[in-house]
Amino acid sequence: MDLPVLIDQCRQGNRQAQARFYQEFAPIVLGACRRYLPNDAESEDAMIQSMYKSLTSLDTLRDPRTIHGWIRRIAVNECLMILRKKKLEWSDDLPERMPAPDPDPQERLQAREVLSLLDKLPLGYRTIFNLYVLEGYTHREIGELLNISLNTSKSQLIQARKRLASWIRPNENKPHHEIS
Amino acid sequence: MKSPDSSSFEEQNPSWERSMRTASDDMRVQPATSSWRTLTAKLDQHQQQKRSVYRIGIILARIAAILLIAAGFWWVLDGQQKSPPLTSELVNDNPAYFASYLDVAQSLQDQMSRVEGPGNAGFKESFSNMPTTGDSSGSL
Repeated sequence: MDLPVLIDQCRQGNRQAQARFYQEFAPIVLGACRRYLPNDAESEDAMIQSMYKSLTSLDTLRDPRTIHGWIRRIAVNECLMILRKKKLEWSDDLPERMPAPDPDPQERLQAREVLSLLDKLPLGYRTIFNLYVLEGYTHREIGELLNISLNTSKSQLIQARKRLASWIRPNENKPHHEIS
Repeated sequence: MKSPDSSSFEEQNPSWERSMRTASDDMRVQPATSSWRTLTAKLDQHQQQKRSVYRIGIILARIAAILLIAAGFWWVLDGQQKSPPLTSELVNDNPAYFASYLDVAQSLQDQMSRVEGPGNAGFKESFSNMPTTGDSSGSL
């Protein structure tokens, strides 16, 4: 079914269309939620809430072509709301022992590997890395979203990158880059 | 969000980050079967709330319409009671009307006095010395 038609039918409350919409977007939304929230039950809840918000506010979507970005933003906001309730600690302390995943850097990373890498990051690093690298937010935007300073966001990203790089490219000792 | 054409941004992102980004874009996680049921329950609840809000809205609109009609009737009836009196007797109560009546009366008196002025008095006197006629006892 054509996406604009599907969206129109969902707006009218057609349950079959909503089921189609769910089949199409729920896995994407759950993938996004899973990147932010390591707990399966929490990410599932965030996905349900995101899908509920999307289906009940489809009237605000002007251009159906932008639905992927739109629905992803809803999911990210939902995850951040859950994370804010958790009161994230922005410390630089790293766990004592880190399991070392070894994806081949020459090959394209698979989604499962990405998740396993993110799961090993502390929640603060993970959130900043997700927002900055994977979603494309700026440090200023991240600061506003999480109510943290620009420098905290930058330092968390540096730590997250160092940690991930050490797992992905264990032979490279040099620092990857500087954050502007 | 960052602009995609930012060269410094691309330089700062090693290949594994780009690879991660691509992988995360393609990431699909199949939800549990119970999630759809939970979502439909929430949607049903939302529909019910929407319906009840709609009903309340209709009731309020009806009440507003009734009040509006009542206010209209009241305005029309009240306006009729307050409209200026058309009967002449009520006009007499008006001080302005009374004043104008006095003016008219005064001017009529003035006209009468002009008509019965000195010329007219002489004319009356010319007849006073003439003998009376008719069945007057003095002339007989």
